[in-house]
Amino acid sequence: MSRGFLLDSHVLLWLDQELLIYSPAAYEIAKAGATGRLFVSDISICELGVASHKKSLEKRPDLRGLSIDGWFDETTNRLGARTIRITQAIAVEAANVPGIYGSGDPGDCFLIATARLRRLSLVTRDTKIIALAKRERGYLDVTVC
Amino acid sequence: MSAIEKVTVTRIGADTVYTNESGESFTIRGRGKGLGLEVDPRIDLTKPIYEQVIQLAAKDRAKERKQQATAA
Repeated sequence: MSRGFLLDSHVLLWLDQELLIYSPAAYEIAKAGATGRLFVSDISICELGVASHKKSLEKRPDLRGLSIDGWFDETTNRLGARTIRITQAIAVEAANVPGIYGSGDPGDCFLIATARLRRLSLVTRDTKIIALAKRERGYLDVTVC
Repeated sequence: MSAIEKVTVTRIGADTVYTNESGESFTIRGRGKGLGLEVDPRIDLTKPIYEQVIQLAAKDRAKERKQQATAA
């Protein structure tokens, strides 16, 4: 059994928007939220905050008119998710991720590093991250949603 | 990967309740928007959603093209 679940930034946004996700994954998220095993990373604040400044209105995440920190706090509280702070150990691990992942996307690297160090399953629909978990057995546990 | 195969999804007010095969339920609290109203009845919630959404959109586009061609 996984020690818990870490939500990828887009999953956090989808849950807030009540968009459809794969129901077995949604069950795991709901259960983890009720049992204190649901986590989000500070890096999601940065990822979604940066996205909210995109020039194209259509590409901006819908934060319901809230500031990014206000939206993040309200959403994570409602879901029962706990925030994992970015520590030096996570930053060091994130720096090593591109060598295996093949991409230097900072958000992805921090999420992968956080999931690895905290032994969490990363809940995602990111095809590159899912491919990494399939390719490098034992490197990263993912829950596809 | 999740070991759970079948989950029933129900809406209670703004919340979404997920129930596994053993009858164990957990809730994701919502804002009263979205899921209950926006679900396409053709979508099977117990299967990966986005593949279905993409396939249905393609089907709808094809149907629309066919109707336009027939009308013309």
